[in-house]
Amino acid sequence: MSSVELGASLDRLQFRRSVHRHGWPLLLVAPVAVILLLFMYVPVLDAVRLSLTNASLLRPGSERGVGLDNYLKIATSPEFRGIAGQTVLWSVASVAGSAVLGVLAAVLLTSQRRGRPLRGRAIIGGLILAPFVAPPVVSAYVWNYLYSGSGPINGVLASLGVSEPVYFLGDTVTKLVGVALPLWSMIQVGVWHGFPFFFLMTAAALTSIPIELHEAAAIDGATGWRDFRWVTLPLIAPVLEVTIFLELLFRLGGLDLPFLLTGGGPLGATNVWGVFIYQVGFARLDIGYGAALGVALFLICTPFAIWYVRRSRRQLAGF
Amino acid sequence: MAANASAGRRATARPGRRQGISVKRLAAYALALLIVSYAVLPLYWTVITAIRPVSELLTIHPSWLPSGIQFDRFVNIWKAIPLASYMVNSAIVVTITVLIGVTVAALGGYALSRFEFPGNGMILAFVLFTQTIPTVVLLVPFYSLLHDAGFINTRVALPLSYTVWAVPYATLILRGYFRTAFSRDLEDAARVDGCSRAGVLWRIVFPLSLPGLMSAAMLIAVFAWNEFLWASLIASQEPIRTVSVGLNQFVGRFGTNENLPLWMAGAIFVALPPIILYVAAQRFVSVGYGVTER
Repeated sequence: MSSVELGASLDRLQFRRSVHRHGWPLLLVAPVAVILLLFMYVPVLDAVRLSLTNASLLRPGSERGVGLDNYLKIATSPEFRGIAGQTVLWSVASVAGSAVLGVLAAVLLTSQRRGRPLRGRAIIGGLILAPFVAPPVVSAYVWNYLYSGSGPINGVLASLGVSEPVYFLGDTVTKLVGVALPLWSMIQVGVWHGFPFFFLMTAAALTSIPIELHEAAAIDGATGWRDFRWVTLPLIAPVLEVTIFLELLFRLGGLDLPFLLTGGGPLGATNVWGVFIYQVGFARLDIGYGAALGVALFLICTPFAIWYVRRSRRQLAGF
Repeated sequence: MAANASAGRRATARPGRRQGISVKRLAAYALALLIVSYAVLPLYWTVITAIRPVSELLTIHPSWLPSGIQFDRFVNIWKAIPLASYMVNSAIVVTITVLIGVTVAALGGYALSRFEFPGNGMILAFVLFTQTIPTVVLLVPFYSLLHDAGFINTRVALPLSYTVWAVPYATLILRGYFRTAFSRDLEDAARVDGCSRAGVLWRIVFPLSLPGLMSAAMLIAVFAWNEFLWASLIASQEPIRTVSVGLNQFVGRFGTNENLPLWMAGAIFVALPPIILYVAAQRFVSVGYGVTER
């Protein structure tokens, strides 16, 4: 066999091996790709299409293009302006609260590793996760009960000398920092529901910090807050960032909890973007407008999304 | 906080085990107790409402400790609503979603973590990007999609939707897990010893990845068990109704004080499976995020 023939057959062999090598991973990844394409990206494009029509569930099949009318409606609707502001406040405040409380809980339960571990850590950890895994139907209903005028929280307030019951989810007159009480009450439930996830992520990240780092910091005189600020926080920052991001998106686009807790009421005081899309699309059956609201939300999330994709491909092993 | 800091300084001045019950430790316990109480407060209220006598519910500001205990609600709830049937429906949805979702995600995540192939980076970016599509954006087009396919109020609708929503998330989790959990030398060694590619997956990769697979399965299972809004839109009919929708329906029907304990008993049965799962297997959850392996 001449060297040319040998070279040619080697080429052929390499080509076949390359197909073989790439064929296998492509086969493995195909189901994911097909599912995403058919059921995520096609529907998103469909949402864009619907948003340019006056489609309605009331008269299926009779939709026609209306250009950017639905988007103009969003931009000029005074109803929507309030909802956008409430959505941002609800998302940012409940995620910030969750992050602070979750990190505090995690530091509290893991920092003791340096001495003896806090007894019963596993049980405490399990109990803290309960708000995160309890069905929103149950949490929302029970919080409604806890908040009610004749409920137990008002019972405590009454015994402290507050004469009139506080209607946490109904009183739109009382305002704190210019925001009606029901929204704050809803944010509180958001914190309660969200902090276990931060606890979970941070606790795992904390245990991976080598103890020598804390010891070195202690020798240099950094303990307590300064140890947290300059040793712990920088090391858990990547995990924290991704968690904040995921939770923020979940709040911006999620609707189970607000929907079940207040349904956007009273008088729209707790209405948020997600619930509004539901109301427009499925209660008013105005699919075109609902789709436009969805696409607008998606566009607002996109810059964050690009930042997140870049960052997580560079930084985290997990995501 | 001040006590905390001073105790901290003392501990560093005298390193070693001899701290006794320090102020710092006591403060840590107190704070931990406070946070745990906050976390379980609504669940505590659910339980005591389920067991307290009806007469107490008619009073204003029911007490934090019930005066008596009644367990009959935990029996009666099964007769009041078809809770058993809802649970079976939910279990079916969860099982199908978990099986298909984890399988698809594991294969995809494995390919994305182990192989250089054309389009690898692009597919990964597409998967990552889906995480940032708010679910609510998909509601309207997804509804019309299922409507056109004739899937609304059939047993296909929920597992299909949940699988679609769970797959990208689970793929990312498992990709991260495969990258960090064990070295690919093992797989190469098995190949050298004559194991087929599928054999490597089946005999080496999946058995070694059980914690990661478990983690993805748990997240998907709890999501599918708890989800409410979508289920109420596309699977609201009695024969296929899931627990969240069934329970919510029941609030509307018997939302009066006398029936409150009954509802709370139902809520406990519905909340128990996810809570037990997480308490028993919580160590798997963070594993899934690749956090512990960093």
